[in-house]
Order: sequence, then structure tokens, then C-alpha cells
Amino acid sequence: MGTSRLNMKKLYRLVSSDDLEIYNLKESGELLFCKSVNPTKFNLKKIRHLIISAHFTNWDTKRIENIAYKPNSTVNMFASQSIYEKDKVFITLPYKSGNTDYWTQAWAPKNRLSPFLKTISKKIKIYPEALTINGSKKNTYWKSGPLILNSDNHSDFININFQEEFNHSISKNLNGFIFEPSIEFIIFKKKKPIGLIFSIFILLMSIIFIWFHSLNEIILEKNNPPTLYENNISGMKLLEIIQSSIPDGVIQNIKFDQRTDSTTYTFLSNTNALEFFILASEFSDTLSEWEISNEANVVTFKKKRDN
Amino acid sequence: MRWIGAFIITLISAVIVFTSFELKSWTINLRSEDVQGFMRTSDTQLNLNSWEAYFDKEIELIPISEKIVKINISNIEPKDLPESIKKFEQIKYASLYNLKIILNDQIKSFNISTTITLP
Repeated sequence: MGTSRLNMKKLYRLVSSDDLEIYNLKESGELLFCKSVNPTKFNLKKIRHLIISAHFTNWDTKRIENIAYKPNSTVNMFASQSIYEKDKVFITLPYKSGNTDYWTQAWAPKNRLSPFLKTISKKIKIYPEALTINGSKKNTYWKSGPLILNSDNHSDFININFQEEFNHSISKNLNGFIFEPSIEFIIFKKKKPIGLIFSIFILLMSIIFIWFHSLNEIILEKNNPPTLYENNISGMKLLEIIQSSIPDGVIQNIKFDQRTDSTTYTFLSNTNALEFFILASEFSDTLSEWEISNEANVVTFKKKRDN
Repeated sequence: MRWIGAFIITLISAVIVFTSFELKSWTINLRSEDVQGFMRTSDTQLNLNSWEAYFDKEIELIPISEKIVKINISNIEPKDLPESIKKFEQIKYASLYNLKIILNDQIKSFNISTTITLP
């Protein structure tokens, strides 16, 4: 039992400028009265759900048979009946009764609520008592500000009773009444987080920028490193060895062909070619990888292939 | 609170943009240190100046197809031949085919021609 009470939501009822009632709210919506406090000495910041009595609010209903009628969410349906200017009142959204063709809306003068608004949290939800309290289950009267109210079992509305002609018993508080939070005041308009949206947009742009500007390239390079080739020229060593053993002025042309792995020496005379061929043949240890042939004034070195 | 969040996100964005420029600069530096870097991208791999800078000689660059080029270097003095050949051997981003070294005995110089397949 104690645990379920701890889990209950707290609901506050601002009866008048010097009376704030605290209730526990059951999941069924039933209110359990806890105590009354002085709002001027109470930390209003912790209040999340507040109902305000008819001392602070007024409301009206209007029958509109046109089922297609959908008023704008910011419209004050009863502005013509109010003595307050449009920007001097808080209003609720227009609300249509589920069972009838009646529309209802409540309004509250800003000057009456402003002393409390300075000290409350912006997360608060404020409800008009006359449109959110259902006393039909309890079938009794209650006092809301200067008015005596009761729920009509046959309609969705609250009846207003005049004190002069009233001789029934009146409930001292809302203990046992049902709270139906179908309608609330628009007090703090939710500002669109334009700055935040814009900064997130900039963040996305910067991420796209870094991707295309540098990161993409680096990651691609990391994932696909360039192919490295080894372009060793196998006949170069031979060229160096042979070149040093050829006397100046005897050679006409040297041709090294990497594709065929061959080096062709063209001499000025057949004799020079033959002398060079004999000399090269003596280096068979060093030139063991090469086949040497001589034809006229041409000596050819061709690399032996592994079979 | 929202404005603090927006400020922090904007700050992160600024850091990202700054990092991007730094990364780019780092990549460019890294490439500029690689003397053969020009061979890796299509934009620069047919740039005659880059090839001449690499060989430190005047060359003849003959494109055979989009990725195959023929390079001719003429009149290489015998003392410069090993260095030129070394440059060809050191090419790492392209494949070397059909390298020919021809001595022109009349003017005592070498001509080198080769075909290169680019990445």
C-alpha cells in the first residue's frame, strides 16, 4: 500500500492566492487529498501538474453542429465574451465533447497567474479545474473559487450553481473526484530549437565536408594501397662487366633488350667481335647465366631460361 | 541548455573542418615527399614536367594508350648511364616493359627507350 502511494503522481490544486492543495493521483485518475499549504511559502518549482480553480479561470461552451468544424489551435472561441484583450489571457486548445456537439475552451487572465508563473517550472502542465474534474462518480458539489460546481450525469459539462439559492452540502476539497487531463493551458509556447537544428545541420555539413575533402581519400588509400612493382633490369650487371672489358674505338653499337633478356654488341670488324667472344667465353663462371654467341661482327648474350 | 548544446556542436563542427584541412595538408605533404607520387593519379601521370623532374633529363613521352606510355631518353653520356638506368629500376608505381639501351658509337652516347604501364 505504502509503495503504491510512493508511485503516485502528485497533483496540485491552486484554489486561491493563499491556498494550494496537494493530492495524490491514482492511476484511475482518482484524487486523494493530502494537505493544504500556502503557495507563497511553497517551492512551486517542483510542481509538474497543477489544476487551477475558477478563481483564476473562466470557460464557456458552444454548440456547433457542423461536424467538419475544426477551429485553429490558437483561436480564442469566446474572445467576444471576455472582458480581457486577446493577449492578456492564457487559453486552452478548443476541445470538443466526445458525446455531444459542444465545444469548450477555458481562459485565464495573465495578471492573476503571473505572480505564480515567475516561480514555477517551465515543464509544468496547468489544467482548468472546471474542464478536467469529473465529480459524477461522487455525485456531489464542490467549491471552485467563487463558484459552486457539480457534474451533470447526463452531459459532459459542469453545472454552475449560485450560492444564494444553494442549500446542498459542498465537498471541502476534491478528494475522491476524478481527474481527466484532456485539456490544458498553453502557458509556455515551445520554441523550435532552431539554433540546435542549425548546429546539427552544420555538423552534418562538416562531416560531409571532411569525407569528401580528405577522409575519403585517406581511407581509400589505406584500404587500397598502391601496387608496387619491382623493375629489376637483370642484364645490367652483365652490361657493367662487359663494358669494362671492351677497348675504346672497337664497338659500333650496344643494344640491350629487357624483354628478351639479351644484349647485342655490334663491333666495327669481325676480328674485334671474335676476340671479344673468346674473351667473354673465358668468364664462364661469372657469365654462367648467359648464352654467348658470335655471328660476323655481332656478339649476343642471351639469358638462359629455366625449363 | 539548448544554446550550450548548439555551441558545443558548432565547436565540434569547426574542429572537424579544421582537422579536414590539416589532413589534406598532411596528405599533400606526404605525396610531395614521394618523388614518384605523380605516377599514381591519372591527373599527373602524363605530365611531361613531372617525368623530366624525376629523370632529371629531357625526355620524350609518347602516349600509346590511356595507361601505356613510351619513354625515350636520348644522348645519355656513358657516365650518366648507370644513374639513368637506376631511375628506371626504381620506378615503383608503374610496370616497366621492353627496356632498350642502344649505344650510338658515333656520338658516344646512349639512347634508352622503354614502355611503361601506369596504374
